[in-house]
Amino acid sequence: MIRSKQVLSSINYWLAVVGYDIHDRSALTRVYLFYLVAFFSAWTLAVMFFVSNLMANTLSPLLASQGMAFTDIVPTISMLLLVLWSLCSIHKATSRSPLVFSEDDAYLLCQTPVDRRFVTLAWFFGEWPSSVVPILAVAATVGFALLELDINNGIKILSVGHLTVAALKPISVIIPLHLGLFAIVWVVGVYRLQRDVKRIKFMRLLRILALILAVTLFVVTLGSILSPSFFTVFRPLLSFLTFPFDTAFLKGVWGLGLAVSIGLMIISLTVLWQISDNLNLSRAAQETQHFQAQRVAFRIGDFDLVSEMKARERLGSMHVPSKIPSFPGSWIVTWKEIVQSLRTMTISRLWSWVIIFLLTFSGTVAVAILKDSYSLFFLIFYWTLLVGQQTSARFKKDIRNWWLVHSLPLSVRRIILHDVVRPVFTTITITWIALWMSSLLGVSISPIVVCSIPFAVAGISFSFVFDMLRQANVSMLLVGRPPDFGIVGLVLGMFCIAIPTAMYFIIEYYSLSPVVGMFAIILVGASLVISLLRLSERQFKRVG
Amino acid sequence: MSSPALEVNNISYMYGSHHALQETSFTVNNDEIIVITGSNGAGKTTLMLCLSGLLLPTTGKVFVDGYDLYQRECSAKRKLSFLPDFPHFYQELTAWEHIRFVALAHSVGQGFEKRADILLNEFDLTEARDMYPHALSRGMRLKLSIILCLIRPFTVLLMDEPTSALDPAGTAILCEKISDLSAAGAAIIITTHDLSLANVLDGRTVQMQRGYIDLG
Repeated sequence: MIRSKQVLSSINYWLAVVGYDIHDRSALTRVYLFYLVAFFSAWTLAVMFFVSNLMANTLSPLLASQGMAFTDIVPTISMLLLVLWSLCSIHKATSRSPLVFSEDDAYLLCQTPVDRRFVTLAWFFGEWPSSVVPILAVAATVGFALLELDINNGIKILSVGHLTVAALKPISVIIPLHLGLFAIVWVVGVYRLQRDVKRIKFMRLLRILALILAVTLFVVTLGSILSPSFFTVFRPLLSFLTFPFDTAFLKGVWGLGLAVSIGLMIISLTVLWQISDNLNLSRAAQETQHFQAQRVAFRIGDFDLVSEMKARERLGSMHVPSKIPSFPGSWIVTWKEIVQSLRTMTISRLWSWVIIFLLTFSGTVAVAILKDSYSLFFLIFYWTLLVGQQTSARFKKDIRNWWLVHSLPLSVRRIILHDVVRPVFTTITITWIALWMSSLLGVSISPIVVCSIPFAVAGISFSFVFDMLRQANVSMLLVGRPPDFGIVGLVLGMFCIAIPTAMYFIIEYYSLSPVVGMFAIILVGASLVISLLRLSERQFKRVG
Repeated sequence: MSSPALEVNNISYMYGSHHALQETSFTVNNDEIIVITGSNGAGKTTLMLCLSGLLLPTTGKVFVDGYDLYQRECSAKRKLSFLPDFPHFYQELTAWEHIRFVALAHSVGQGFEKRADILLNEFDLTEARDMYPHALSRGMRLKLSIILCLIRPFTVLLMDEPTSALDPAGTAILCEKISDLSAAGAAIIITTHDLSLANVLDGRTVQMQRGYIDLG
C-alpha cells in the first residue's frame, strides 16, 4: 500500500508538471486529462514514426552500402544493448541496493517485521515500468522500421493492423525478457543485502566479472558484425543469445521466442521471491536515503541542492590538508579557489568547457559558410548563456557562505575578481583556441574580433554577477540560498557582445583601418567591463 | 580621547512596514560584555546582523573602533568578528582548511597553527580537524565557527545564540574564553535564550522586546 502511494505520488508529480490538478474533479479538468493523454500519445507516435522512417530510409541504405543488412543487425544490436544494460545494472547492484528507500521509509517501514518478500516485489514492480517503457518504445520503433522496409519492398500495404502487429510482436517478447533480466539484477542486489558479511568477496568478484563480460560481449558482437569471418567461433553463442530477438523482430518462430522469455521471467522472479526472504531493509535504507533525497530535490527543481548532494557524496567525509602553498592576505582567496576547483573537478565540469569550445569552433565555421545572421544571433545567445553560467558559478557558490565572504577584510572588488578571474581567463583561452582552429579551416578571423573576446567574456561574467547580486537577499544568503542569474544578466551579457559586434560591422562597412578598430574596441570594451564591475561592487554593498 | 569599541548611532531596521528594530543608540566599551535576551522575534538577530554589517540598517550608523562599518568596511571588518546562529561553510574545505583560510585572510601569518591546535583541543574538535563541514554535527559546526571567530584578531565580538547547539563542556569553555577575551580588552555582545549564560558571564544583561532595546 505504501509503495502504491509512492508510485501514485510520482505520477501526480508528472501530472502537476503538465498542469493537471488531481484534486480538481471538474469536467473541464477531465477533458484536459483526456487532451493530455491524446496529445502525448500522438506526439510519441509521431516521433516513433519519424525515427522509424529515418532508420528505414537512411540507416538501412547506408548499411547496405557497407555490405550489411539492416534486418540482420537489428536482433544482434538489440541483444547487445539489453545485455549490456543488464550487466551495467548488475555492476551497480553489487555496490548499491536496487531498493531505494526514503528517510520516512527507513523509520516507518524498515523497522517493522513486514514480510520482506512482499516489500521486495512491491518495490520491484514500482521501479520496473520506468525502466521498461523507453525500451518498449525503441522496440516498437524498430518494428515500424522493419514494416516500412517490407512496404518499400512492395510486399505489404500499410494498415493499422500491420502497425499493431509490428509493434506488439517485439514488445510481447521483450516485456518478459526485460522483466527476467531486471529480476536478475535485483537478485544480485538483494543477495548482497542479506546479513552475510562473507558475501562481500563474492560481490567484488561479480562486479569484475560483469565488467569483463560487458567488454567481451561488446567486442565480440561488434566484431562479428564488422568482420564476421574473424569471429566465426563466437557465432553459436551469439545465435543463442539473439534467438529471442530474432523471433521478436524477424520471421522466426515467435511462439518459441516468447516461451523462452517467459521461462526466463518465471525463473528469475521465483529466485527473487525466494532470496528476498532474508533481506536487510535497514541496510538498504541506509544506502539509498541519500539517493532518494537527490531524486526529491531533482523533482522539485532544486538543481543546486542536487549538485551539492552529489559533491558531498564525491568528497566523502575527510581529506588530508591541501599541500598547495598559501600566503597571508587576499591571495588566500585564490588558494581557496584552487583547492575547491581541484576537489570538485569532474568530467561534467570539464565537459562544460568542451561545449564552449565546440560551440565557438563549429559556430564560427557554420556562420562563415552559411552567412546567416539569424543563426549568428542564436549562437551568440547560447554562447552568452554558457559563458555567463560557467564564469559566475564560483561566485555563486561563494556567496552561499555570505557570512564568511562578508567577514573577509578584503575590498568587494577583490572578492569578485578572485572568484571570476580564473574562469574568465580559461574561457578567453578556449575561445581564442577555437577561433585559431577555425582559421586553420580557412575562416577569416578579424583581429578586431580577437581583441574583443576578453572584454566580451569579462563583461558577460560581471553582468551575471551583477544580476545575482541584484536579486540577492541577505536572509536567503545566510541560509545558503543564492539567487540564480535572470533575464537582466542575460540581456546585459548580450549587450557586451552586441556593442563590439556593431562596432566591428561599422568598421568593416566604412573600411576603417584595423588598428583604429582594435583601439576603439579596446577602449569601449574596457569601459564597459569597468562599468559593470563597479555596478557589481555597488550592488554587493547594497545587499541587505 | 580614544573612541569606544562599538558606537551605534540611531540605527533601525524595517522589514517592509514592520519595525524589526526600533531606533536605538548606544556605545560598548572595551572589556565590556553585553548579554541580550528576549523572546523569539524580538529583533535580536536583526540587531546582530546590522551590527555585523551583513544587513544594511534603514537608518543610522555603526562605528567599530572609530571606523564607519558601511563606509570604511575593510578597516572595520578587521576589528569585528561575528558568529551567526546558523553558520554555513565551504563544502570543499575541511575544518582545518577553514581555520587556515580565515586566519590567513586576516593576515594572521605566523603561529596560527599552534593557536588553532589549542582551540581545536579546547573545543574537542581535534579528531574532526580533517573532516568536511557536512560530516560534522550541528554542535561541531557551531564549535568550528566559534574557532573561526576566535582565531583572528578583533576588538568587537558579536555572537548570535552561540550556545544553542553546544554541549555543557563546550558552553563552559566558551564562557571561559569570553571572560578571558573581555579581560584582554575585547567588547563582546551575545544574544541568547539561555539565562544561565547571562548569569555566568560577568556582563550587562539587557532584555529586548518587539525590536526595542535600551542600552543607553
